Amino acid sequence: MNRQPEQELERLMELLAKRATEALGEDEARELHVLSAKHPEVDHEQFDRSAAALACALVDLDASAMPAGLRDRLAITLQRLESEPELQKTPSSFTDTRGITPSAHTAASGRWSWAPWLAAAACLTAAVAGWWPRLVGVSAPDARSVSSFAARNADVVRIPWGDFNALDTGDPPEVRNVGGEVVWSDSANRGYMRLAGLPVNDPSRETYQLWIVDAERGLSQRVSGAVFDVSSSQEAIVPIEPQLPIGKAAIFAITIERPGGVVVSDMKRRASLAARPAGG
Amino acid sequence: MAESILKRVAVGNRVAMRECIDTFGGLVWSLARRLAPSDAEDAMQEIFVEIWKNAGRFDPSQGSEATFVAMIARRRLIDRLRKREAEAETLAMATFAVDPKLRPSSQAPGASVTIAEEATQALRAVEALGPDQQRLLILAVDRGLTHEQIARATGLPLGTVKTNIRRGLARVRDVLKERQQLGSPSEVTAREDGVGRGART
Repeated sequence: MNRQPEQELERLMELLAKRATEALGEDEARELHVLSAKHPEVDHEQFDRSAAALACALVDLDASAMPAGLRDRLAITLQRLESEPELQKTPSSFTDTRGITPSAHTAASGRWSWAPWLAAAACLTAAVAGWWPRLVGVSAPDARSVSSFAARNADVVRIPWGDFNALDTGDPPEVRNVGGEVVWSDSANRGYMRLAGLPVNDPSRETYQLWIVDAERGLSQRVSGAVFDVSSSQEAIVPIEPQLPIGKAAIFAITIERPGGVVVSDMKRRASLAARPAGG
Repeated sequence: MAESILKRVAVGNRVAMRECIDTFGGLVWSLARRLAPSDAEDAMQEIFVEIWKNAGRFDPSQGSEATFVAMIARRRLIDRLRKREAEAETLAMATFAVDPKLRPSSQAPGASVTIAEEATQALRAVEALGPDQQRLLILAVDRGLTHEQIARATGLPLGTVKTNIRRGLARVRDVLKERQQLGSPSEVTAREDGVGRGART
């Protein structure tokens, strides 16, 4: 359809106003994309900003508080995004999920092509769908997962497993001589366990659970890092996915718990422990 | 002056990410509860990922950080809302039973000054509109209704609804732009279509 410039501008403004208050259809999004490219002098986000400012004025900020824990979950998600190379920070579907209207800045600079936009959209879907509520057990990691993780995170520490003697009496644990190591990054707030010699467990009766102790918060505020089963005598590689930010992990302790794991452990059934060396 | 939170987020500052959540989490949560009440937590997740991805695009000369964050949040929330069109229809009928009036946000204690400042300007702009135009704008922006839903609910022609909403948004835009341009009076005044007088021939 051939339009005069004035008609094009009129239509562009109409679409921008519609986008600011309701989502555009696919055809409209494409039309907006074309018109935006033809009129880079128009501020493409003018109505989005207007609607956003007005929404801020009208929304009831104290109608309900954020749920407990949501703040921490959001923080963990962002930390993970930073640490995942495949989820690099690529401006994505901000202007429209179906497609497609680069901002005036974008169009002018030409910095962002379609390919990364689509990749980012795909990554976003994967990240959101995959993370919530947790990822453990989605796919079995292998040695390459661990080495790749270590290569990506400069602050990775490797801590060998040792016996988990009772903290008060020094009594020996149920399991001894577990080999392997913890591969952990404080900045990524995640890591892996390599475990050799941890006995096969009967999942219908018990499970293994990892606890992480933060250097500052101490043992009383230990955080669950994984609930897992061992099904063979070969080395097991288990991802560590704490639900809360740890800070500086000082101790990784594996206990034996009831199937499904527990919220709070009495730490009576001890399997193995990895303690970060002082200054490590 | 301290560097903005979003600029620090854009360069991967982890402290800034947490600060961003602390500062704008309440605002985004309130918007999510408004426009995506059934899955507000999932929406929060998606929105903050999007903020993280787009933080580098924040331009303080165009508006406050709060407005930028709300703009990203609204885009995501509107998309989610439209994907639940049936739910939106229900919402439309339910909400229109209450004649919408301008009701300034109740600011939580300690709420960001920037949220209040620019939002107040926007509110003043809408208060200057006629009552019918105010109502249409509130139904669209605050209640999340589509133009068609508003037309059906009010009995007004769709074209009238579209025109009034657009004019209302343009009014808000102009007021915000005037605020941004304080201190640079020589700049051209924005036209109704958002194009500077000298920008188009």
